[in-house]
Amino acid sequence: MKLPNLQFLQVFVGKLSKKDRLIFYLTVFMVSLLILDRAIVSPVFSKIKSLNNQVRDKQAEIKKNLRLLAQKDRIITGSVKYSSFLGDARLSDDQQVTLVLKELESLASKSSVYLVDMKPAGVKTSGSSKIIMINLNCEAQMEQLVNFMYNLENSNSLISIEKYQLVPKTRESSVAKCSISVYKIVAL
Amino acid sequence: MFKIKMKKFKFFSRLAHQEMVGVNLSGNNLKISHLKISPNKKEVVNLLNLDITALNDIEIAKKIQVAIGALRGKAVEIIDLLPTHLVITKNIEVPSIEKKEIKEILNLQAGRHTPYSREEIIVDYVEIGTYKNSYTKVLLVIVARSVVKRHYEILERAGFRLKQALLASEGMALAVFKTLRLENESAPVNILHVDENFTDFSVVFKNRVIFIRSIPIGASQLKQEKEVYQLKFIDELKRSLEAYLGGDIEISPNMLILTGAEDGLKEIETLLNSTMHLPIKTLSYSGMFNISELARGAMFKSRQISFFDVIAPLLNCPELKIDLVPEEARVRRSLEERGKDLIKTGIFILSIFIIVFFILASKIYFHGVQLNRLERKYSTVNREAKELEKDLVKIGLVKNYLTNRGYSLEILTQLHGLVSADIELSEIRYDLDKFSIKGSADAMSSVFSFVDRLEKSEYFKEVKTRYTTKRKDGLRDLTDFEIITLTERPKDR
Repeated sequence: MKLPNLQFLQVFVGKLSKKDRLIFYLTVFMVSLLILDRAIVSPVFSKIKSLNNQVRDKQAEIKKNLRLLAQKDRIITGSVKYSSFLGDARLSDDQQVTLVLKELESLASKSSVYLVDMKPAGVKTSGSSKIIMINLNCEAQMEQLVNFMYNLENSNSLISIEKYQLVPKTRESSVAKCSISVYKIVAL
Repeated sequence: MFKIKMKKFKFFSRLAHQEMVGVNLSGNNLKISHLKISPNKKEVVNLLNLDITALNDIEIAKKIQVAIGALRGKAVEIIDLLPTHLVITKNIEVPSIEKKEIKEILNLQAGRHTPYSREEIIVDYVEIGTYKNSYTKVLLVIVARSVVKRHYEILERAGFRLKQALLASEGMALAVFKTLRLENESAPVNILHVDENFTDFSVVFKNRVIFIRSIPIGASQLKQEKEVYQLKFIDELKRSLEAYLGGDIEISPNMLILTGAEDGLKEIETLLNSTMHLPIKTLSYSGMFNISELARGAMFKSRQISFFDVIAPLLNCPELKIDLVPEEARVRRSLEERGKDLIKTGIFILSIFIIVFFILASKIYFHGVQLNRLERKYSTVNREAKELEKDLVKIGLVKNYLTNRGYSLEILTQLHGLVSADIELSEIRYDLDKFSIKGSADAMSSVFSFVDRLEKSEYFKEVKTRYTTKRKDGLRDLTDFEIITLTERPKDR
């Protein structure tokens, strides 16, 4: 490899006054320092910092996990206790929707409520759970309707009423028309 | 420009052992000493005395090559030790106390004290003291450049390069000063060093040689033609003392120390005792140093010769003030030292970079290792904890569900309890926290009292009447209304 000719640099520095030479050397020094910082120091220190953070996070995670493990028995007991409420997370969305529809129909017939229609309103996944939305329209006596709503809220399938609208079917009628939006939570 | 002063790091180099060779080329003899100096031991390894009578410089170089050729290529310092009879000394006063100024004045005046021109001489000096606050007394030492140059050339021909050219008598004076611990002496001490053909007369005071004179009578003359030379010797001695006192340098010496060639030293002592009015003390240099058996053998063979002048200056080398190296050699040496210093600085900076690099690299490596070790060691714990966390989330979901379920019906129940008999509801709408009621009442006041009741209930807040409209239904006056409100979970639920 041919080395660059540095003679011109020597000539250039030689022509400078003492003060200018000092400024030139200081500039070269500062620029070298800057390059050193940008090329080596900063990347190395940021790598060390990132590794430090990773180690700290990992240690915090391990501490949290150890605390969790200390509560293992309590969690398993709770899990067994509430297992009846938890559906099968392995089923597909369609299968889950069908299951909910079936259950709604069963609860409606148990409460003598006439189901006009039921429509799936989508499936939303948020974090560690899935929400299956169903809109239904039904007709029944007010008492039966309330009974149906009670059965919905007390089912073992984590079904909840999100919104409802109650109106009399006709003027002076004792039959009420009801639109209900329900959702079921499935833990993943 | 940014060179680090590597001389500050000499401490480390001093820990290593150092070899020195002293060469004294005077007249018919070539004296060589070889010393090994380590932090805890200073030893005279070998001494040589070679007869160089009628030899030219090439032959002398060959003799040196044969004698110390084995040291070539080793890190040995070769030092030229100039005898007093080869130099001119003068005690003068300089009208300045500034070191730089003194040097300049002496450089200008040195030529006047010798028959040579300024270019033909090498000058150095010892500061004796300041007088009258503006004068400095100095011992000026001048040597012909050709003498030192010749020594350089002979040694270069022999394959060695001289490091320093020192005045032997200064080294000897310091050695005596140190051995006899004369620091506390209030008066100068006279030292008489007797060699084969010459005697050095020097006066030392407060760790400095302040007067030097060479007497051309040695042990050889005093032994062979005793009657003639003893008188001359005493005469020279008295003249030297007079010259010292006449120069108004310091007060008169209070002691005379006799040292040098072992042969005949006793006789000289007797002679001096009978003629000089000074306490005489004889000092054998062989007892002053750690001398090897080999070197002692050489001393024993040449008892008429003193090796004191080739041992003492080497051992006191850093403290000697006179250096008679030619300016060009000094510049060359300085350039070489600067070059070496630059290389050392480079190596030093590079080493720091490498150390810093290794520290940072090891930091990154050890952090990586620590991370991997944490991953590996707690992988089972983490896996198990993840499963437990999932279960915990599920439990949380169920618990939350169980806590909040039935709320929509509770709202309805609450509403049922608040509606009075004169109010007929036509629509109830519940949408999470929004609730609206439409209906008719017999009187407007019934609507407002219904609103009041709703407001008082802990399940409703921000109750607003959207409209109230009066209308006739057959014979009845009815008020249609719509109320909207926000639902609120009671705190104790």
